[in-house]
Amino acid sequence: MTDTPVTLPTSTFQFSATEAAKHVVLILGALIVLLPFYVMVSYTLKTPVEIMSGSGGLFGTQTPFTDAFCLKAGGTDVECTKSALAYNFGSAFKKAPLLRYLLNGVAVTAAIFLIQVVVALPCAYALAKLRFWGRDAVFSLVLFCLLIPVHAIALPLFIMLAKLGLTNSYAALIVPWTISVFGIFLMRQFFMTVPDDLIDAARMDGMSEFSIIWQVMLPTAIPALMAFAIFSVVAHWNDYFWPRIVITGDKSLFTPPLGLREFRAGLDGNDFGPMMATACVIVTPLIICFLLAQRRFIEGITLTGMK
Amino acid sequence: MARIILRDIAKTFGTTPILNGVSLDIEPGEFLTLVGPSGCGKSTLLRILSGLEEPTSGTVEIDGKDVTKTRPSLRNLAMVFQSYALYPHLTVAENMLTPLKMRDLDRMERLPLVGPLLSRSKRRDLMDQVSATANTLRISDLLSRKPGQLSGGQRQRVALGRAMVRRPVAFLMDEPLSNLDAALRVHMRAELSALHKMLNTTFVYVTHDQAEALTMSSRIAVMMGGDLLQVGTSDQVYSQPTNLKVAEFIGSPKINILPGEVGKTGTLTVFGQEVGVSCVTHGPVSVGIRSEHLALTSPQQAVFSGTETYRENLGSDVFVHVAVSDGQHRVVLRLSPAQASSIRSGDAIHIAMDPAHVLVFDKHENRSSATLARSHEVPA
Ligand SMILES: Nc1ncnc2c1ncn2[C@@H]1O[C@H](COP(=O)(O)OP(=O)(O)O)[C@@H](O)[C@H]1O
Ligand SMILES: [Mg+2]
Repeated sequence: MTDTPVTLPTSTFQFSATEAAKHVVLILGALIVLLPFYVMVSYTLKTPVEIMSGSGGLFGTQTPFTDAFCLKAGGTDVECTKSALAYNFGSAFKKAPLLRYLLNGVAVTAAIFLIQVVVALPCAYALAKLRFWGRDAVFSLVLFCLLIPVHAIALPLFIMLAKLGLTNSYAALIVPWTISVFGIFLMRQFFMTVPDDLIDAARMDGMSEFSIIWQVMLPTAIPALMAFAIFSVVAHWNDYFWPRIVITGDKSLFTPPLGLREFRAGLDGNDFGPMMATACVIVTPLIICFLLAQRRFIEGITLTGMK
Repeated sequence: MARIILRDIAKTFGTTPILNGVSLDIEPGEFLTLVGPSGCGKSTLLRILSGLEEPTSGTVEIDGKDVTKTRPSLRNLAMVFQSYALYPHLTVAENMLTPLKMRDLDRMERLPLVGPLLSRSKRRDLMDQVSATANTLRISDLLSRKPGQLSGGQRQRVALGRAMVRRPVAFLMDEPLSNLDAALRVHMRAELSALHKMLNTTFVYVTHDQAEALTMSSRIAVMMGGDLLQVGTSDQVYSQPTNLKVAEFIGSPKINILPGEVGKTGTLTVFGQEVGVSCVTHGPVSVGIRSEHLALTSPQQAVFSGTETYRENLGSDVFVHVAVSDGQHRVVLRLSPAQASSIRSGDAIHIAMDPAHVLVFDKHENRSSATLARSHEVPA
């Protein structure tokens, strides 16, 4: 698009007060959003003393320091003197089984998303493309369910799971989220834009309704599915509320956000450095996923060969 | 080749009647065109024939078998859609392969990874059929592309290819050319006719374009408002329409309709002038005459006269639009360029009607028989 030579007017820069004002507002907004991330990253680079005293500037002084606990535990001076970064990430992984939490997080979010898709696609297809009695009523119910906050039904859900003896299990983390009305709604809206002719063509070719869903609708719905994946994965990877309720004892079932709890104020005071290191480890996979998905997202949108 | 019989097909959506008992007998190997204005139910009828839609009442028979309740894929018909409806995520080859796979491979053999191992020779065979069809349609070099990378005309061919590979007993086409540009559309008409001759299969073709219907079909079925008005060859529906609506719909420019009156003796008069035609009905009638059957004449022999309002020059012919001197009617004359150049604007134009081609419609819009009056039987 840019390979045709464009003749620019001699003076391309013109000061515009409204443009400048817009940028000031946007820059301020960006700063406010980025500030917590900055604090998070900055703390992982600082020693506890630097954090407590608020010194060390943006990135800490990066002078090695001696870990008092390590000495107490009988380590030598050489062993216990390290950089702040090594100390923070080292204790993050040592003090809590962070890898285990990450694996739990991956398993739970992946399972939730997969089951959500398996449920939502047929529902959305039926609501968008099949004619049956009561379809509009069912769709209104879907819309209605979108309005119910999770927290309102958390207690009944918890009691049900407890009666079934399912608390403190992967099932407790996964099952309540497998039916996503948001997913059904989003996919239904997308399916409405798929031409009926395509479905009729598939029927003429001899596909069953289920084959149509998985072999025709699913591939054409990749962009919408990506959007849904972002919502679903972010929500359940970051969820603190629900795992906190149903995982009461067994630490081997903790998801990453629960791992943060290990560093809250205890006898030995707040351990902000390792805590922020944990937070970094938790958000990094999400950011990477998002960047990957974003590329696929744009590809997906240009994929559409239909009218 | 299949004989398709539709019997009393009726369809209502909710409470709206869309088809009111359509019966149609489609001969094996013929090119039958369903033509009618938009919204008259052509697509609905075709979809009922294909099995995508169920009729409210009536039966569909293919080769003597009642298939009213049979699934679309088991009727062995192929359909070409207006929007082509190609699978956007599959290549052209995979698009054309899909109907064959669905028909010839069983559930196990269609599985993604195991399937190709189980059915290697079968799949090679299917791929050969796809290549053969692609050769016929000259799309072999497109086989590895996705539909998004094709032009409208190419997509159209792929859609035809997907329909052809399974060697259906009949092809159903719903306005397949209407997304193409004008030049390509005319070209594809010829190609479709050639394809019909080559495949020697029944074609059922839906269009709202009467010119398309006239050029391609063995027979035309004219539909309007959910009713089948006339079924016949192009010549029959053009020159012997049974209904005023058919006469008005078929032919371009539109047929000229003038008010007429049949006297007690059965002689037809238009604007008070005798035309030279006798009718069996009496009273006011509508008189239809096509533009090529109006001619310039002398003031004494004219049935009516008027002045030119507008002319369309097509090169070979000139259509002259005339405002009749009664101030209410307009007619179109088809003249040769030489005749047209003899008319100067503002001149009174005197027009005669060829009595052999006068169509008379009674007050129910049905054709009423008209014979040449005695004085006109023998040309002077
Ligand atoms: N699924 C449907 N539900 C309700 N009305 C429909 C449906 N399909 C078609 N119709 C109506 O039936 C009429 C005929 O449609 P159609 O057969 O597509 O006409 P055509 O193809 O001749 O233009 C239209 O008025 C259309 O609105
Ligand atoms: Mg239509």
